Amino acid sequence: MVNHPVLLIAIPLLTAFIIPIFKKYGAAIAGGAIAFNMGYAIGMFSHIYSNGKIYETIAGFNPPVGIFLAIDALSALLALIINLFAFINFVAIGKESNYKFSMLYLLAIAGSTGIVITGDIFNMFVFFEITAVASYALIAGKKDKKALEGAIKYMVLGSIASSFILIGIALIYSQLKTLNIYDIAARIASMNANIKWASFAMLLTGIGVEAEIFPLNGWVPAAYQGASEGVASLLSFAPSKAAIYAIARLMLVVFPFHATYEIALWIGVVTLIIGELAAFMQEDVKRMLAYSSIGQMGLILVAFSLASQGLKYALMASLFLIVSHAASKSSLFLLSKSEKMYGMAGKYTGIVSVLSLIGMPPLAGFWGKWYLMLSAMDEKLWYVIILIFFAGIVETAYFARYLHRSIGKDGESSLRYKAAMAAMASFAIIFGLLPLLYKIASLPLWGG
Amino acid sequence: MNLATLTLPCYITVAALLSIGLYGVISKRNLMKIFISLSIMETGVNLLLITIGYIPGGTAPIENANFAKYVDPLPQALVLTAIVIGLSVTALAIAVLISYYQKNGTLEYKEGMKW
Amino acid sequence: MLDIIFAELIVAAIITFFVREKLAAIIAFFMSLLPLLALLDWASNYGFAIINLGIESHMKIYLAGVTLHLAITPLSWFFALMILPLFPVIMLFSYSFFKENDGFFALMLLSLLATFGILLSRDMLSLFLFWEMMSWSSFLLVYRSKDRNAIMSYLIFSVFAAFAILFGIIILWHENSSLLLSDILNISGKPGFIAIASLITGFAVKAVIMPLHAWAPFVYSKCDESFVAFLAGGLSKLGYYGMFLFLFSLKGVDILQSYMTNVSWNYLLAVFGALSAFFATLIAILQDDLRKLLAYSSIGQLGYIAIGFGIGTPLAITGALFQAFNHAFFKAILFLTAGIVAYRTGKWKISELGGLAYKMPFTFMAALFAIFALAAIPITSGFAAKWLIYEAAIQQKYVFIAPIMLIAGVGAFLYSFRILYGVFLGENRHDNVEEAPKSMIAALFILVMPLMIFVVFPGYMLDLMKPALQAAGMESIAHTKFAIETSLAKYNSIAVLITLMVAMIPAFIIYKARKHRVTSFEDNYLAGEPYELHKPSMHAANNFYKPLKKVVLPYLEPGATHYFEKIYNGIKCASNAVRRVYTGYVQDYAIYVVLFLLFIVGWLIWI
Repeated sequence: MVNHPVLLIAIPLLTAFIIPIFKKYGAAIAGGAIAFNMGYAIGMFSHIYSNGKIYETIAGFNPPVGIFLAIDALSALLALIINLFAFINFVAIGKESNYKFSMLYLLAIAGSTGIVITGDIFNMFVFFEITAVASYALIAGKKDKKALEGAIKYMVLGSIASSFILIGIALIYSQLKTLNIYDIAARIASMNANIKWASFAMLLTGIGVEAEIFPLNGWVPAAYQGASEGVASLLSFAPSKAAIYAIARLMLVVFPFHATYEIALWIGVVTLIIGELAAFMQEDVKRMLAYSSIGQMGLILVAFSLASQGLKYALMASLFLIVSHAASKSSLFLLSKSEKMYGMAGKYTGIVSVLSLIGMPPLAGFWGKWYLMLSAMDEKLWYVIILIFFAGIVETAYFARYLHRSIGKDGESSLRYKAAMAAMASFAIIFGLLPLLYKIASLPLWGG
Repeated sequence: MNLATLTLPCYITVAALLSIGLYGVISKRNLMKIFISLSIMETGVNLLLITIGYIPGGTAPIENANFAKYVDPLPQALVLTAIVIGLSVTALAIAVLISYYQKNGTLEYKEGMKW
Repeated sequence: MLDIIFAELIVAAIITFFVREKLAAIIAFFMSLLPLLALLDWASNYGFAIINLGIESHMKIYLAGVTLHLAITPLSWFFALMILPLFPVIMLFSYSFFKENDGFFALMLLSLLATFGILLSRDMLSLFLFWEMMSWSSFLLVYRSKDRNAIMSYLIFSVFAAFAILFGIIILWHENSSLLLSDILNISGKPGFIAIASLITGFAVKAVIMPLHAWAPFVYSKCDESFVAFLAGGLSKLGYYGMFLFLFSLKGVDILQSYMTNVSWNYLLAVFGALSAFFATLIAILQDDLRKLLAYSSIGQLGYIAIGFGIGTPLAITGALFQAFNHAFFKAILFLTAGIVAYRTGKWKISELGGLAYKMPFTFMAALFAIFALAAIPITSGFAAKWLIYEAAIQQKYVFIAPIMLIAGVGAFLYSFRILYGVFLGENRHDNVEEAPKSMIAALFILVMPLMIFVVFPGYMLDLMKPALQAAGMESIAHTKFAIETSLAKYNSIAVLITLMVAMIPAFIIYKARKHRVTSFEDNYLAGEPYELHKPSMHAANNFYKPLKKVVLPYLEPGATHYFEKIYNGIKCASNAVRRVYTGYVQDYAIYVVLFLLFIVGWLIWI
């Protein structure tokens, strides 16, 4: 049953189009679809955890001609994270939402999941657009000035980005006449060098806008600040994680060159420093978390760029960082609904999330920090290590301020909301204690 | 007109469309104009795809015994998809702009949230 | 056995989180005895004879795909004996200290777990892991204080220390391709130097060596005293444990020397230790807040341990370990006393306290003993420890450090006197104050006991640390039960005791022979001025060291805290500058995107 990953995309897409017919039960239907997706993602993850990579062809055409879905440990983990958190997030906010919201939510999930499991570069572009369009609408859905402004910024940059991604794909296609990622990877050496670099630059710029890397992330603070807390939470674990996955996939498989590695490394470091410094003085909590997300995405990019050099520890670091960031940021965004802390659950959610982000054991963030340092040391990147340390201390400073500010502000919230927050944060603990990610990093990857 | 020479003008047009689009996005303050510029950019990209798939002397990719040489069908399929996506983004953008106009009373981009 | 203890501690932490405060205290008390049982078990199985570093009773914990190696070594045994007894005592003390259970006991149990883990860890990953765990569990205890400076400074310095330690660890890992401590052998030159220096910097934060002490005054003076007793008494020793481990047990001194042979790097540590002993004592003298006074006194006393480690001879290290042991107990007593004072009176200002000795005699006795040990009055174990360090400094002809230590020693008298007189003696200002609850008194006297024992038998202390020293390749100093013999002199506790007794008898007779009259302050001559006008300044502890304050305060003003604030403000400026990149205009962002594209293309194609 778990051998048909296309269901992960098909079910939410179809459900999304059915929902307008049953407006009244929109949220319930969407909840069911997301629950199915979560169950399926868990099943697929456990299947891959024990059996290794799988693939599925669409409409009977074999690759490289046909579109196909290639799932390995990395994409299964990403699919799991996206769908799992999507479900928990929907539990927290779904009941209050109308059918339009549910529909867009499903589209965003389908798109993000599609990005991580597809093996076709144009398909990836399509899923990027689905995710992006759904995200624009979700952000604008709050309909106040800030939300509209955030949505417009995201839309303008996202449209430019989509043009660039398409140009990048066109350049690759003009040379290799193929869209299959692994086919491209096999024949990348036969490309004209200039066109190869141009296409890489186009793809990096385009996907980088979604992946929140500096200086392409102008939309990030505005969009996160403008969006409602549930949408901000969604943005922090679904589209951004899918986009950083896409960059990682390109770097690991298609462009495993030294030049691209260096670029990604330094962009990651600059993003990290800029994001953390910008967050340092931020008074608005959501905006601070948004800048902090930028910094974390930089850190994940650093980890992935090291992983593209074939360092096993770096891949582990990036997995732990992704999990830690998804768990912590999504719960912190839910927590930022108001200035208040929502009792014991809220307080400890905030504390666990912050501790995971600044890298305290036995939370997932600790292992991310640990393995990242080991792999950076392997490459003897002294400056990078020092800069990461500096960023870590800056991050600690503003999170300490954040924790202090939340003292004594107690508010009431529904049990559902509190349970969802706590559940999200608890994944930082679970993945920190279990050897899941450790094993995942040692499983074979497609094209690796 | 010799079809073989069409490629170069096409590439020039692509470059022109992209530049016009980018220029519009960067220089215009009116949000509607910004989104029109984005559409122009998309048109440029679509043209690029078509041009890449074009083979001098080829016909439309419909199976026909009279023509052995036809252009690459895949980019055309891609362009179709891209057009649909562009359409949806534009439609959404206009919806958001209407909302923006109702809230702010103008389509001029004002100094907004910063820092 | 160890893994069971770990599991039980975690379970106990979870349980104590949810039950009422009294029950939580009882559970926590019994659970915190468990690690001590492990120590006893180890001592009865192996005795004190085993001296090699890697005792092969390795326990392995499998966590998130990695293996943690744990074992008890002589060094960790000694430090465990110093730190772990504090936990049950603090639990006992806190039985009646807290009004409600808001996680204190659970967090203390987690701190205990982390402390135990640090002491047992045999590889650098578990050392770092438990170190960080200790950081966050103690941070959450600091978090309960709700004080901005305490929370921020503690977390920032903890993370800084963690990064420094991590930096050292990854270098050692890279050079040796192993995380096991026993594998750190052939490392020298620049990487080794950087690694060891970075590790020592990291440990120095928790060991509160100036100028990395900036967090300590805030944290010590704002948190619950029962927690601070652990922080000052136990946690700071973990920093010295790390230093001892890497400098002496793993021969870090040689690694440091192999990089630059002409500079004595150890001496630097001694200098920093001497500076913190000197300046912290000076600042402590001027404090009016009892907790701040104790905080700075703590920094000063810990400086002596750093001096001992810095001098690095077996004599000095013996003294330093002795001092560490004493400090763990007497500083815990003093902070707990401060807790009792606050619990009963709600005041911390020395100028508002006074005469408590008449109301709480038992508390006073315990505090008095601790103060004697702190001020290193002869016959106390504090004296024996400091005497060893002095002698080592004199032997090594450290003409800078020995005098500074002497001045700081006098300073310790000055501020100890303030605690004694300002808080416990003098005018009785509290009529409705009772003696502390029994559990608190019991806690204090449990802590007094080891200090008493080492007054009479300083040789026992040297016996305890002998395996640790031998494991580090150092000879223990010649000693008997009562006497310590060094090349310069011989310290015999019985002889000193008898001499002191003999000297005390005439003093006592004179004291008894004179008639005393207790008068109130209203009785004093006020030259006709109304008493109320002068009431605040009439207290003897008010502005006690005013002349000294006038002289030294201007020089102390720009302290280390000042420079850390400057760094903080610098980052603020940088942050403000960086934030301006996000102008809020979407057109600017579009320009960034285009420029980024051009930059990448340029980088890839032309470079």
